[in-house]
Amino acid sequence: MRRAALSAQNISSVRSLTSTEDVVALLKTTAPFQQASEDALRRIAALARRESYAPGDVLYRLGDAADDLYIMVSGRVDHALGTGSGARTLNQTMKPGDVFGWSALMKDQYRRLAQATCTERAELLRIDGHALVGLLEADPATGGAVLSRFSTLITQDFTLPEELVHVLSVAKRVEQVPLTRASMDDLVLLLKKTMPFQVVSDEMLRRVAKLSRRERYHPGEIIYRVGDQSDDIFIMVSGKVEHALGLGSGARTLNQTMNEGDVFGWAALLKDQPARLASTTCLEKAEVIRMAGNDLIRLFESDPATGDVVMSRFATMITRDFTLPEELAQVLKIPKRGEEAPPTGLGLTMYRMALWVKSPWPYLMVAGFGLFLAFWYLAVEVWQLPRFKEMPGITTVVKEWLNPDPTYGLSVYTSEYYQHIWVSVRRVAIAFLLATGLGVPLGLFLGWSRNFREYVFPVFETLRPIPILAWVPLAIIMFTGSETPVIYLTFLASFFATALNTMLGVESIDESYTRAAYCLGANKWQVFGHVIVPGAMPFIFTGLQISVGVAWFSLVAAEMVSGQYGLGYVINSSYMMVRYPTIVIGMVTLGAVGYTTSALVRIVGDYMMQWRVRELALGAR
Amino acid sequence: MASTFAVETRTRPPAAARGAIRIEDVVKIYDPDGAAVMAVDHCSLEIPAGEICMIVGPSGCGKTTLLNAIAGFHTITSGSIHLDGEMLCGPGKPKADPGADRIVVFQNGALFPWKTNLENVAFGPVVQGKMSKKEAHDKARAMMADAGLSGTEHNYPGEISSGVRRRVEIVRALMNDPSVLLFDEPYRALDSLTKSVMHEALLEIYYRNKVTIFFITHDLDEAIFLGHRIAVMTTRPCRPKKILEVDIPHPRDYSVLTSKRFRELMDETLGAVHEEAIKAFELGEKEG
Ligand SMILES: Nc1ncnc2c1ncn2[C@@H]1O[C@H](COP(=O)(O)OP(=O)(O)O)[C@@H](O)[C@H]1O
Ligand SMILES: [Mg+2]
Repeated sequence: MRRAALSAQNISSVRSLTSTEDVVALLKTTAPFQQASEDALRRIAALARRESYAPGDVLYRLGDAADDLYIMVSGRVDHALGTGSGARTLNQTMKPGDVFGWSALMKDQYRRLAQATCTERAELLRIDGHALVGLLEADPATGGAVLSRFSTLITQDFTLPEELVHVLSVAKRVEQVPLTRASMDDLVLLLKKTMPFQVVSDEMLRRVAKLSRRERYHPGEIIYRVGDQSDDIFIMVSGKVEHALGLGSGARTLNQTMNEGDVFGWAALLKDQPARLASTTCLEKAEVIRMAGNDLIRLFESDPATGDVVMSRFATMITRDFTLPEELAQVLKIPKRGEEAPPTGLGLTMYRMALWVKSPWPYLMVAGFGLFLAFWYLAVEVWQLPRFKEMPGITTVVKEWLNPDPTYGLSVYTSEYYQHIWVSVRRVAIAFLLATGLGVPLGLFLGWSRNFREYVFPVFETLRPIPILAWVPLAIIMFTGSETPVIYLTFLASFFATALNTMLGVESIDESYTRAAYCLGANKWQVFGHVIVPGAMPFIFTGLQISVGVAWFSLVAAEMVSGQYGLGYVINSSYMMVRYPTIVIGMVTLGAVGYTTSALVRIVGDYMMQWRVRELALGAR
Repeated sequence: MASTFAVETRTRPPAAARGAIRIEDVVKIYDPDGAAVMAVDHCSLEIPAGEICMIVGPSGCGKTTLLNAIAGFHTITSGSIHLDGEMLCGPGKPKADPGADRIVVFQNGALFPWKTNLENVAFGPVVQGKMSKKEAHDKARAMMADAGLSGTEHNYPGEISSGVRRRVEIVRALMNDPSVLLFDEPYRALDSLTKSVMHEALLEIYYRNKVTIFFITHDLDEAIFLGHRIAVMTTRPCRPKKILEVDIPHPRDYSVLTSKRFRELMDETLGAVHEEAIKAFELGEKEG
């Protein structure tokens, strides 16, 4: 690579004209220096030279030695990245106070990565990169923050070849100031503010507190840096710290405020993660609690029941609070004593239930029902609104429903009530099972075989939109008796929903999976069994959920038309016989039973797709 | 074992018994709706057995197309591809049969999410009928332990980090004792930190299992760090523009990245790649 020397003769150094005050004032407008003390700025100003350039002057070229950092005072400088025909001008206007010539601060980067050309008469401050870094290193309190700001700026402003962005960081100078150990109770209180520990008993927290140390850091001190051994996790008590993720390529400062009780440094809890993934620097006098990750894990191993929950809460925090590369966010799992049993579907359901009960949602649900019932009561019985006059009131309905001797013959005390439920459930069950048994295979083949699909799908798509009620006459003509037509009608819509969703499920399977299976030596049928069927499973179960829903829907329609039993029949016949409260009893029962069947399908689905449940459990947190 | 070590500290790849790929005059024309897209144009490339050959080129230039042709995922228009002297595809046989001698590690990973890691690793020998399920599981467990993956056997892929997933996927391939591993930008989605760990892990696996590696990447650091040779491909249609020898002896570790030779090679590769990247950029290429 050719190196071009700076055309020095065009540069007139006007350094003598500038007072230190002016330079300090300018430095203050420069983002990385904004936090630096007056004193530090003065020392930095002493390093700066002020120069002016004429249009056409080349400040530096790609490949030149990268010695100085530049700060814009006025004028215009353009940057071009790359070489020769590949060079592209960065569309970036520089404001006074903007910095360029980063390479001077980069580790292992001795050459310029871009060309800078003056396009309008420009005045600039020049600072020797080495001297600046030396100065900042001598004063870590300011230096840490300044350099970490620089690295943020570099990654933000420039789309530089990623691998080149290695900013020098201040040399290690960590003097920890251990506090006199605060009283146990104090520590326990602090730990309680930490999300993962909120579920832990006081007794256990006391033992956690015994593992903990409380420490104080000064601004600029580096608590740990990327690659350090990750032994301890930290809990924030007060102050401010800053995290920078990744090295070189990825280095980016996390814009995240840590509040009391927030956790950081959790690499100590990650599986197969012996080293820090981020660097953490103290920005404002900070107090933290730290404890060895391994001690913590060992402690919770003695109590796996709590341990599991705590660790899964840590995992939640890590995935939710941090936008870390997801691949790193795997928290150590506490093996159950004895065998290494993966969490079962039931355990997971229980855990979710427990979370749900603790969340605000149950209250919202109760409130929702409350409002609805209150409106019903008020509208019918108190305000007697015009359209609600004929409606059965809530008290009437409840009284009838719970009446051992019901006025209209149907209540929880009568056996007919259960017979109606039973008949409807049986019809739905038969229709649903038939729809599943026929719809799933049909859908699988529709999705899998192009030829089969060309034959069948057009017919399928023509029949599918026909409303269930339009099938009633044919159903009655086709089938004798009262039972089979009802089941047939109930079956139809379910069948279409199941088949269609299954087909979509097959189509949703990523081609890589089938290709991988072929690569690994599977034949066509093995691909079908090992890839197509399980891969379509999530869609199949979505289809089945819809399928039970529409089964109930069609059932009621069918029962209203024919049949002598069932909830649809109850509703319809009660209307004929002006037994209004019984209509509502039938409706509410229908809702409850329908919801239950749909929940059952979901539970079966979760049970059959453990992989998905666990994936979602990780993702949804 | 001093002898194997001596073999490893060479610039050239060790002479492996199998896995030599010969790509001759391969042409691939896609024909979507009658508009012929020439993805690969008279591409010839010879990869000796046991070599790590890195394929670098602008997006959409046809690298994946070439890989798919070797793997047998689609046909070629003309030319031929041989593996150890045996024709995979060529005149009269436009499409290679996919098989366990050439296994692809996919860009986004293709572990079956519905199988546990152990079932995934054991999958090949079981479906091929080479081992009983129990034998396969035992071997899979042993191989996972060798690769430092113990403890993840009963997890589903969705539960482990994508870095670990890639490793499991490689072990799944190695279970079949393949002659060639085909990588299609497998580490593209990883952050640089995880990537560096993956690179060293891959080399470690390579040193223990001598396979030929056909590795597509757009990351030049990766290309130089891993490869014996780097084939820089032209903008679509794809064919080798320049082939660079990476004369840094194996085994390598991350200190290589800061060596002078590495920088020189980087300059050289960058020069070749840059020109093509500009062309591709101007053509507005997208990946297929
Ligand atoms: N199935 C396909 N049908 C038509 N064109 C395709 C198909 N697959 C890829 N291409 C085209 O072929 C070219 C090369 O694609 P690909 O091999 O995926 O590139 P690379 O992997 O190098 O990024 C692209 O222009 C892409 O649009
Ligand atoms: Mg590709």
